[in-house]
Amino acid sequence: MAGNDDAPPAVSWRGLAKSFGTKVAVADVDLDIPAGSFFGLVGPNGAGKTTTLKMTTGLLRPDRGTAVVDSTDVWRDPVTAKAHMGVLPEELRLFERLTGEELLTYNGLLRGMDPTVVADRSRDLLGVLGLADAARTMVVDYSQGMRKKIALACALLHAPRVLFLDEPFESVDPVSARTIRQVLERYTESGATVIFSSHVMDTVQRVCDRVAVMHAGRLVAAGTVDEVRGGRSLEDAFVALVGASADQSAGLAWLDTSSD
Amino acid sequence: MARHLVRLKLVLLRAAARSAGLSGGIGMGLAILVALAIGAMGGTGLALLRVASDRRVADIVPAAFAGVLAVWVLGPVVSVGSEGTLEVDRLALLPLGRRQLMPGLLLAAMVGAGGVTTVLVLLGAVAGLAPASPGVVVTLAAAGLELCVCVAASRWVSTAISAAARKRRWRDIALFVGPLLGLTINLVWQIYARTTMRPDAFGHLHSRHTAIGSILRVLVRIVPSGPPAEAMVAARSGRWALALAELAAGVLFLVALLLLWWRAVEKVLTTSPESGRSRAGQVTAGAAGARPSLFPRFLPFLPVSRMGAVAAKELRVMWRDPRQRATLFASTFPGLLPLISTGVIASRSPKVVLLAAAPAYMIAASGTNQFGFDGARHWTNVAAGEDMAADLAGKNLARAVVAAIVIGVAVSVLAWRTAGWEMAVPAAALAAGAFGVALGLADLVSVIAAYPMSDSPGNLFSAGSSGQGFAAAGPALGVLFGGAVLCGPMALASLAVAGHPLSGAVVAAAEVMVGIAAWRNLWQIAARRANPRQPEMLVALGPKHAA
Repeated sequence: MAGNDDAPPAVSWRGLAKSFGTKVAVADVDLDIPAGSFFGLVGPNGAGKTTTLKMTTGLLRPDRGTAVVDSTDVWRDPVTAKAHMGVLPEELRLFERLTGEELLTYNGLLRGMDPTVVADRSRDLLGVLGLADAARTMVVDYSQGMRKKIALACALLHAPRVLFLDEPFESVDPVSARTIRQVLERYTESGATVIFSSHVMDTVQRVCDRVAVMHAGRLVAAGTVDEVRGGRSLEDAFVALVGASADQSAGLAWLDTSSD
Repeated sequence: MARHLVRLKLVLLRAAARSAGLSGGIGMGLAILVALAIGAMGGTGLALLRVASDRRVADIVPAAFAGVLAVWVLGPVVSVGSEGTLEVDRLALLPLGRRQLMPGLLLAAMVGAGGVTTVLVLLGAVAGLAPASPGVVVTLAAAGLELCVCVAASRWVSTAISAAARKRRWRDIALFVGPLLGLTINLVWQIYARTTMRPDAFGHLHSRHTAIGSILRVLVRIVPSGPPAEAMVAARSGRWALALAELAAGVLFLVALLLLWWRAVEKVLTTSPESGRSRAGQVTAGAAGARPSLFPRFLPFLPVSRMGAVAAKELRVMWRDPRQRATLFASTFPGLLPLISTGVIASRSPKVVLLAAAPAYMIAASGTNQFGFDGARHWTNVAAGEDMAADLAGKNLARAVVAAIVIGVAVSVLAWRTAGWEMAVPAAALAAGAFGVALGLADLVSVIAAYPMSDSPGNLFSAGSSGQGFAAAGPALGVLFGGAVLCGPMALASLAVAGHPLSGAVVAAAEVMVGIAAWRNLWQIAARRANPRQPEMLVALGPKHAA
């Protein structure tokens, strides 16, 4: 679903910046993300995607600038802002000694949800995500794909207006990836907004309607997918935008001597 | 390759020191100083054997060498913290065979505070026992052999546990049984030593202890550290043939340990860690109003709220996570020590029931890093909206449940032994007061000086980071002693009114109120301080601060 340009933006960044020591991680990012969009934030490793998402979700304090989610300034009123957002961070640090069902209950009650609603939604989410049989298995015994799915279930449990996903398809098998994609597409059809970071251009081109490219902490392009790719594949456009040369493997001639 | 691995260890130690930050750096410095002090004291003690009788030397040296061996073998297991920098696991992907790896790992294991401390002790032994003749070569060889035996035994045990723990279930068992074994040995030793020192009070046990002493004297001679020790003792008195025979026996022990380690390394290099399989089952449709499965059934009073969820999660994880289980036992253990002191075991005074407050105090005072096991997982709570008051209260509630069980058992046992049931309520009140004061202080430290506990799956016994233990020790000891100073008057008041029902009831009520008031105020201060600083706390608990 394309974003609704008349509605206030789902997310608004103004001068958002963060440095770690002398290293500039995010440099004065300005952007509005329309409500209802399926938005991809792409960039090479170390571009500042994760730092930007952490600052937007209240997990990392910015040096300066503002992040507004669903019309609420995240750093002025974090409790209200967080009530409207769901988060799936890149590093999946979960309470692994809880079962999937217990983890969902824990997340629901942290957000002050009614226990009956939590139980009903948990059952639905576990069923749709194919985790019903593993509901009473400890998360420590889950595969990587199952962990992504249970984390996604936790992020969706309170039906947030905006969902932030950091590398949701990384290390996920194609079947799990398809399930996650279908759930997210169903979710955006309801008018909610999904913002996810990735460096898999193919996935971004396939599922997103809008995209922003980050490089060295700065936004180097933003718009609809078609605008950004300009008639090329998104990967070619991305490589051109971040300044990588076409073939960087020229200096590895010695690989030809491999005995295999 | 050996040189490369030793260099790697040195580089890793330097990197750990650089990345440890100020508190970690101070912690590392303190750890090194303490290790050097222990080594110097041990070495000096053994050097003084130069003026001791042959009989005393024959008793002390094997015991001292066995002690050094025990520290090398059990230290990493008991403390749940050893250098985790050069584990076989981490080198498994390199195209290196056992012949290339093992000498380097052996030498690298000697690099660090443990190696320096052992060398200091052994130098003292050489100074105290070396004969003034060419026979000093035998003494030096025995010292070198002792060092090699200790390191080989330590590596074998560490790698063997790691090899056995390729499955999650075995990892969990090893993580729990290791520290528990250490505590049990400590407990048995405490009881033995205390009752032996008071033969008047334990005459009926004295003869048994003499027999146990004889067994121990034999035991320290037949463990792998025995032959090097015996070789030194024999060389001191000029029995060269015996000394050489003992050295040969020591070499055989060393070869056996290296072979065992060889097999364990092979297993680690050729198998990969497996996840376990916990109980499976579908989520069931709960009846309306049914309590969520997160909440233990035997605790119906836990509120179904954020605070209750945190408490339920803490209790579940405290029991399921072997590291937390071991830590829980370890924190309760010091509080049980007064209960097994000589005086208490011999006493029939009802006043000893008041000692049941000690474990409650220890459980509360040990909570100076209540977010440490959450570590980076604390993002879940931060992302759900800051409510540190509820989070902290939930963690406190879980700790109170554990303390209540321990106090209940301790009060019952002591009251039964002394027939002092009239002291049960005053003891519970003192425990509640002491628990409240200590927990309030621990809450403050938990939010001010949070640090992550390591949960590296690759190394069962890795510490969070170098020097972390010492960096954490300052605030923890501060709470322990500060709380004791605050709780001291309560304990004295309880003792003073023991046997006076009316004044006893007044003091008991006052103690409970002081405990509640202290906890409530300190908890509120901690929550107010931490709420706006959640992102900073999350950074402190993040993986970059762990090993």
